[in-house]
Amino acid sequence: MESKIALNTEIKGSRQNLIYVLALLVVALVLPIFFQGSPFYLHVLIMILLYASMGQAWNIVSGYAGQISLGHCVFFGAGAYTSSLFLMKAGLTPWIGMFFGVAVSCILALIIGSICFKLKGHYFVIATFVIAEIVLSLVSTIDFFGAAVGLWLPIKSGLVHLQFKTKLPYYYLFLVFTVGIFGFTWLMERSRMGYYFRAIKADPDAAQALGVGLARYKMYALLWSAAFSAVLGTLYAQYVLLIDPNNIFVLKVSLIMALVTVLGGVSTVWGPLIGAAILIPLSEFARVWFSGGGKALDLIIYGSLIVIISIFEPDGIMGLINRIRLKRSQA
Amino acid sequence: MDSSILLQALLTGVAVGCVYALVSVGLSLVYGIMDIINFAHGELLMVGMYGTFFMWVMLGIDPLIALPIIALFMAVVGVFIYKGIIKQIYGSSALAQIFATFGLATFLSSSAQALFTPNFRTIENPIIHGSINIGSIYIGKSEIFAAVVSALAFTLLYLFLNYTNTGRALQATSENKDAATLMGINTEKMFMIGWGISIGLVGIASVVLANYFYIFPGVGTTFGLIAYVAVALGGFGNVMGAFIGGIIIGAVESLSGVLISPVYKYTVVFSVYLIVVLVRPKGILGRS
Amino acid sequence: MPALLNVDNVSKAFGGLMAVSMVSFEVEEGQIVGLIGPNGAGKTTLFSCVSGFYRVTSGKVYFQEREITNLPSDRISHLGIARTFQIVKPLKEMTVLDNVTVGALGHTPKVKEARRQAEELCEFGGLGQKMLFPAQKLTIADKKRLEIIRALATRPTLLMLDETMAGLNPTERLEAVELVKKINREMKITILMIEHVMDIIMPLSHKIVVLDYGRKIAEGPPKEIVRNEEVIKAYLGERYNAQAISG
Repeated sequence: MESKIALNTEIKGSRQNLIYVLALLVVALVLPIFFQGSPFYLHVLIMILLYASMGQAWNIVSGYAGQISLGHCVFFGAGAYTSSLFLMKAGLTPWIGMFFGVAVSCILALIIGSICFKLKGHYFVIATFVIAEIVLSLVSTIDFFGAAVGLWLPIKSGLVHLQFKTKLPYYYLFLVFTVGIFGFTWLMERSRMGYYFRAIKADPDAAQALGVGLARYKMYALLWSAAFSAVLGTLYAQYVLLIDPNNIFVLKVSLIMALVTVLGGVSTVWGPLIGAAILIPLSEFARVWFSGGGKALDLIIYGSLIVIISIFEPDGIMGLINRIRLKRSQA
Repeated sequence: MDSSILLQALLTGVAVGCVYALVSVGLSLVYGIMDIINFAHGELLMVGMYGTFFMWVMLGIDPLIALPIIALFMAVVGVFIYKGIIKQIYGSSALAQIFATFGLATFLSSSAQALFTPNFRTIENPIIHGSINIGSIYIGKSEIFAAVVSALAFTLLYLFLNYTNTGRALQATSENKDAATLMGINTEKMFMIGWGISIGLVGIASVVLANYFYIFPGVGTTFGLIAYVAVALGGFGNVMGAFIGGIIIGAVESLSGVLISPVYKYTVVFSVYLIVVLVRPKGILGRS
Repeated sequence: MPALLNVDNVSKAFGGLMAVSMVSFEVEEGQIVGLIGPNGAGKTTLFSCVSGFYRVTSGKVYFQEREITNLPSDRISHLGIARTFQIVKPLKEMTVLDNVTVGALGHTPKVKEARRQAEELCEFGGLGQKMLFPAQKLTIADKKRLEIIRALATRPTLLMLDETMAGLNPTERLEAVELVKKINREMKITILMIEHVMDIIMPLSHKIVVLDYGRKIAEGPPKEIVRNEEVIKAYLGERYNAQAISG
């Protein structure tokens, strides 16, 4: 009897959630029309979508599977650089270049994973950003990658070239991919892989005793995470049209990917979006108002936020919401 | 390649390695006692360096005199960090522990950038300056001073840890917290003392470093990363190992600078980290 | 009939310390075998060697006549051995139902079906009312119950229980004993259990293996073990009253 009740409440909950999701989707589709006149606001919206998606990609391996990486900029950059290099050297459309970006990113993931997954806890975290530092210094000094100057993408126009003259099409482009990544995460949560990821995070020994192959599933998590990060890298490159190592392969990028998710709530579907919706406008406006000092100001805010969340609410905003919900249902 | 160039590189490397060593020892000490990695360790070095710089520029106090003041100040900072942040996340999830000090690091380096601008500062002509030369080898007096002070500080620490009651209590807490509590050791007090010593050592390192090195907001990041490598090399939790690790890393960095290229010297150092943790996770002297 | 589990001269050393030394015994299908011994005798270490958490220093382990020595624990789980942990390891932040579902997913890839099986097992094991509780909020007795149910979800042929009775009050103990009996008789699962509480393990077991300082010092039916001089000495002279094992 109890069991049927369990499943029924879950189904009812899902129907409610579906309505919220559809409402949100409608808002997302309609929202930019209000900001048509302002490229700056559209830029902020695009950045929210970008970082929400990047955060979600990070969430897969570091949130759900608990393998905390602070070097994720590597996968993002692999996608950006691969598709851009193919475009510049071979004239290949970024739509196909994207796939190559994913391939390169996944190969990196295989290498990094097989090195890093043998390590535990803090060894692993340090290894991820040490590897990112190595990649940064290599890309900054090798001419093929554009060295420190970076890559200037050729100006084209049209969907087939994945470039647009105005911001509005970019918004919808990013929206499509954001919905895709979030949808994947939602499905993953409910799949066998999702259960296994969460088990690995909760207690690797217990998970193993229950038949979960640790190395294998950690690698799956990293591969998906790397693949999505790479796709976003390509989209980003096509948006800004100039990529250089000091804006891509840096700790700041890895940090923001992590922070939006930690702020919103790791291991939840909505966490990265909530975190990005709060953090990105904050940092973009800070950049405009305090131009000059602004660059450091957003990091000051990030730093303080991370410390505060870690101490008071490590489960992020979703964690806070869930706690309140639980108290209400018990009352 | 001229052997004197290699020798020069080796000596310079060992000298800076002593400073790395001192920084790493603090990191290893705290890890040993609490199982927490302080990701803000390098940034605290930066704080000490700026402190030294401002004492020089605004109060006219030479680093040599400022040394005990900054060391004490940083030790107090360490205790405050423990009480304000670390204590709250002790026992929390790995995520909370990692991000708490990481957030602090970000906060410190970006605050420094906002307050002091990214410009490189130096202390011109402090009491200890210039260089001595032996044959064709030049070595800065500041660098020798830094190495000597670091070695001295480490020796004092080593004696403290092994020959005083408090020091032995610290070691006991490091080996086995539960057993230490059963023996009547106040682990809370040990944590506080550990953090005080750890950051105090960083304070000493920051003064001797500020004497000759560039002072800028990002200086801590590289030193911090190198500290992790040194600690991993020596074995997490082993203080002697961290010291030796630091010196080795200093030498490796300097030698790869001349043998390969200055641009890739950190790449070599980081590769060393990866190799060490894969091949011998325990490090040279570490406990598992 | 060949034994289900054959532990053959297994030794495990940590540095210079021999935690387990040349231990051999067999477990027949359908039996409940008890593994007892004073604290530090090496019982949990032996479990970890058999279930793939430690690599043996020497010796071999056979399950269903094939060698499983040093296989990783996830492989061993798939082969049909499940274990519980002495210090319970619930998958924190996941619900009771989710915990058990993870176990079921080992052989049933479809989540919906695995969850259904998990629900049935929760009912069977007495956690039906608490399926949606976060695992960390359970009482210690329920957490131990969860360990067992979760292990059962993997449909093991051999279930290894590590001190599931410790810390339970008499009522809880009775329930746990009934559960173990149900598992053995209704689900036809062979059980190897480490236990300290003599009143429980003696009546439950078909056979007892006794370890002391890493070595096997006795093996046989409970009635004999209770009278064994070596065993009595090992337990610091505690005399186990032979009359207590009646029933």
